[in-house]
Amino acid sequence: MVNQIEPSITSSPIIWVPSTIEEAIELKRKFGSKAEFVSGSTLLQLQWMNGRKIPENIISLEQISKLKEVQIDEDKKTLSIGASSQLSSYKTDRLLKNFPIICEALKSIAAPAVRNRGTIGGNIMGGVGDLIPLFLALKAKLLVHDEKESELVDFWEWLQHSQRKNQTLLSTIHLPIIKECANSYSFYKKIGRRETFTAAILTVSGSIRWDDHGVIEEAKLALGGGDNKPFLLENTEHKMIGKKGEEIDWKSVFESITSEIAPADDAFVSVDYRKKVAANLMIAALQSKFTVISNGKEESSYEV
Amino acid sequence: MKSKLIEKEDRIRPDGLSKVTGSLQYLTDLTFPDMLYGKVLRSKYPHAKILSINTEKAEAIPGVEAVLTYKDVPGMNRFGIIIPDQPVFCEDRVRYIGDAIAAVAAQSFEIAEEALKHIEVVYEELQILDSPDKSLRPNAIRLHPAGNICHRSSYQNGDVQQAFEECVAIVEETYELPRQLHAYMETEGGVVVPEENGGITVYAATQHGFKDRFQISRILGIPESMIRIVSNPIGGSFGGKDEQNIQPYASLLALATKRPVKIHNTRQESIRASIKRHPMKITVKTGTDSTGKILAHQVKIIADKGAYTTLGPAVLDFSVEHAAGPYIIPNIETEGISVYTNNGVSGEFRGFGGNQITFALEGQMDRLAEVLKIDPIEIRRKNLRTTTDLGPLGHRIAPTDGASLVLEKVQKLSKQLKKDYKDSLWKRYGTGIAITMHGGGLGFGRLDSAGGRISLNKQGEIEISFGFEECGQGLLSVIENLVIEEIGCSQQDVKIVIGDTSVVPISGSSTASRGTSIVWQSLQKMKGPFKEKLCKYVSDATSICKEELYLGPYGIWKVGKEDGPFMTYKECAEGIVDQTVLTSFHFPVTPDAVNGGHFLYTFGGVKVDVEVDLLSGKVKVLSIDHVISAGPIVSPKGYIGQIEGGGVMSLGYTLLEDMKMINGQYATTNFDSYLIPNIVDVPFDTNVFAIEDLVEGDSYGPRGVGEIGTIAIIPAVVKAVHDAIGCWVSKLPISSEEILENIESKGMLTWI
Repeated sequence: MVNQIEPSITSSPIIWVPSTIEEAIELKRKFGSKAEFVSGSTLLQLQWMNGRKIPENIISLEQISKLKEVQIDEDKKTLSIGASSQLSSYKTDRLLKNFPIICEALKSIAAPAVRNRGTIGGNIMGGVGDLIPLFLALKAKLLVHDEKESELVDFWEWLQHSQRKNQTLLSTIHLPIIKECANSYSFYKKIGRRETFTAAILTVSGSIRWDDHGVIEEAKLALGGGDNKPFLLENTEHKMIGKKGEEIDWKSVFESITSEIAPADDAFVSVDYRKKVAANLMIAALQSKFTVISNGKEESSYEV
Repeated sequence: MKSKLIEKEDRIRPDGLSKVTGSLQYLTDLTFPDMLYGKVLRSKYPHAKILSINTEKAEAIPGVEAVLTYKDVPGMNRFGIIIPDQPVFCEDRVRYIGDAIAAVAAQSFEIAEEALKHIEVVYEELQILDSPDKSLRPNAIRLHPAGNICHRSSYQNGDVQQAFEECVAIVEETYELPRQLHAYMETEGGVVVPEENGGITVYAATQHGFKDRFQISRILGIPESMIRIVSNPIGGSFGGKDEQNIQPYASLLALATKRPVKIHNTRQESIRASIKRHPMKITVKTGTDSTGKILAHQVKIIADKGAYTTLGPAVLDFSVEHAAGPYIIPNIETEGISVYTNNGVSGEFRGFGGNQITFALEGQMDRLAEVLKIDPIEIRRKNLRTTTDLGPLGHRIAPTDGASLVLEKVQKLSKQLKKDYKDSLWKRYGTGIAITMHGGGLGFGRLDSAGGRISLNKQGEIEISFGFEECGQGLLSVIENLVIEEIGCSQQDVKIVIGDTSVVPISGSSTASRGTSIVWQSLQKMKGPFKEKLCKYVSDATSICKEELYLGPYGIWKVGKEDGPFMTYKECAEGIVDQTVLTSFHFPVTPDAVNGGHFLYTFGGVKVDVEVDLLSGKVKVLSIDHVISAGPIVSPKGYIGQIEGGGVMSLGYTLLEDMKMINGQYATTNFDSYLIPNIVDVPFDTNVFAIEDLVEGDSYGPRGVGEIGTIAIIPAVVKAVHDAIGCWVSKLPISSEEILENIESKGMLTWI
């Protein structure tokens, strides 16, 4: 039954509060499937309300200070964001403030109170977060840990192939920085059924890089948000690489996007609508950039 | 937000601080010693026969104190304000997903919930009638003994068929409106306490305590005098708590266990069982001459009643009455039909059918204006009622020039370009206006008792009492302000008593925008005699001539003595014997015998600006100007709150809200997928302009404004969308998908 209320008598879970990554991993090893990592528990609370089983053991990551660090590694040209950084850290973190697209994305998630508790890592590990397409487009790598090893993995590879996401602790998100470079552009757009505090109908993000002649060298286009399975649009990306802006046939890009993606369907918004809007948003964002490129010089701060 | 209301004397509302700080105790916050917790088992299916109910296993669970079914109802196993056709507990058939089958009282909510799982109900599923169309088929299974038509209502004047032949322009359209959730903050709940005399005290929200008392007495089979209803304060209602919800179950369980029983619906339980706004499908054909004068207007309304009646017939009557709105139409034919289905029960909701019918009416005006190439304001003016015209059912109403005053002001606002919204690459902008006329009170043929009481109590307070409830509408401010104004006393002198049937007089229900009206009218009737009584006492006690005395702050004052009261209210209270004035009267009603016809009307106009995003089809409302004609303002902040809040509620109805049902099941059960507007959806640029003038000689005073802000905004937004991209929307909520398809079809996106 869709709506049969199935209440049950539940006992309170035990909450563990480790202070290091190692302790957290050890707790997870000890309790196995009877334990879950919990960060801000904003999404999980909603899921628990909707019938998701509350685990017997909750491993809170809140007190692991290492997970809250945001750093720039100038040598490796990497921005690393600790997974427990709050979604609201765009307001407080000195480094993050230099990355407007990340700030824009963070602002688009949930509502202020939720952003004060919810974390960047939780948004990724929850599987439905708006940051997933952004970080896919920005070619993120994740530092993940399980009882066997710690590993720096390609986000998209890991999303597609890892069988052990539930057992994994995400500690850091690594983003390559392209500094002081005018030859790149990234965008992020979220559409919800209302203006704010809403699950995404869809979230799209993209990044492109071109050479001095305006020829596109690299393109990343990602879809996600809400119930949409995160997806990198590799076919469409390939169609754009090697071309200048004015050479792109936008009709065929539209067709490519709409045929490549398979967004979610629900009682409120159709697949067809989501496909079209995803394509419209991506094309409009890309076109806006190509207008600027052809107009000549532009300003740039940090780009990721 | 800015207010264009003339700054009047205003006070902090009496319940304001405790509400904004969250310290206020609602009735669902109450606990009593030895209290049990109740839960209600609702139907598993939208439509089924019940073959058997076995409660043995549930009864055997430790901590379960009672499990009740239809067999345990001592009185009438039905409720319903107009027609009691909803089973308290279903006997042999369920008709919607919220139908109750059993109720449990236990030591805790958790145990009660567990017990529900052990109640064995064997069903035989029946065909689901999930739309009026299906219910109206000749071979459809009957949901009620008399069939599937709950109510018919109609009005006819002139000859529409003949008039259509003379029309130059004819527009025909079907308007579809969704089911809306009241979305009150406090879900239904409360505590019922058994009393020593075998009666009960019910602490639970309702909009009409005495009606609850009557309905519960019928169910329990005990006299009304043994039932006390405490129904204040309420965490929002909007019509949604007018009908019985948890009261019958908590009452039966309290009597069965002889212990206080608390029931408090979860949000999911609330959505499953509660009433909603009627979904309606309204087909309209309207014709005009070449100048835009309407010659014929034909309206067919089909309302989805859901499983049971509640106030459905009155809602349909209201829609039929308002089919012509503020326009004078010589030939009109309106037919309404309210149809039972296996969907959730539709019932009373702020606006009461006016929202739906006005969307259709104003939609027709705008479409006709386009066809005739006339300004939308001009076509309205051409057809607008004048001060002494008859009401929309051809009945006499209180003279009013509200319609033209509102339209004039709306016109002025439309001419003032507040912001230069310039179309950009992916954005288009548009403006829309609409007006409406809305009846207050219950209407002709309905018992609409009103009244109040004023007294100087033992503590020396001026105690003013009404049988109303404070459900967030700002009633306390209205009462306080009017008492201070009419009696002349200070804020500290006033004691307000409401929401308790053991102590309040009969005032009727806190519905139909009638509260403010009744408080004012009652005070007009009571203030003279009350002042007279107090002054007479002081005069007798002091030998000062009565004519030299008057009521003022803190006491009775003597003319010429300006340094303080001659006798304080407290001193007066110590000796006075005859200190109470009661009034009871009928809400003003039309002298003409037309079913449901109203007598006092308010008028509203709205101008909105919208932005349409070409990439997503999403509509964003950028500004809302409300123009309201409802007589003098009693409580400025309350007035603004009602109008702005009502507007936001209907902004949700226009853009977001649809309590969608699929095969008789709700597609959404909480606010994570049923989206109501939040602060970012509401334009900062929201203004309320009040027209306070009434026609000369009007003796009915300020009208209530609980509903008028919810009506005209709906068609105004739709017209603004048309203005922006040339697309007529006839189905709500406005679908971004439909808008996007329209944008595509117009070739506005070069890549499609």
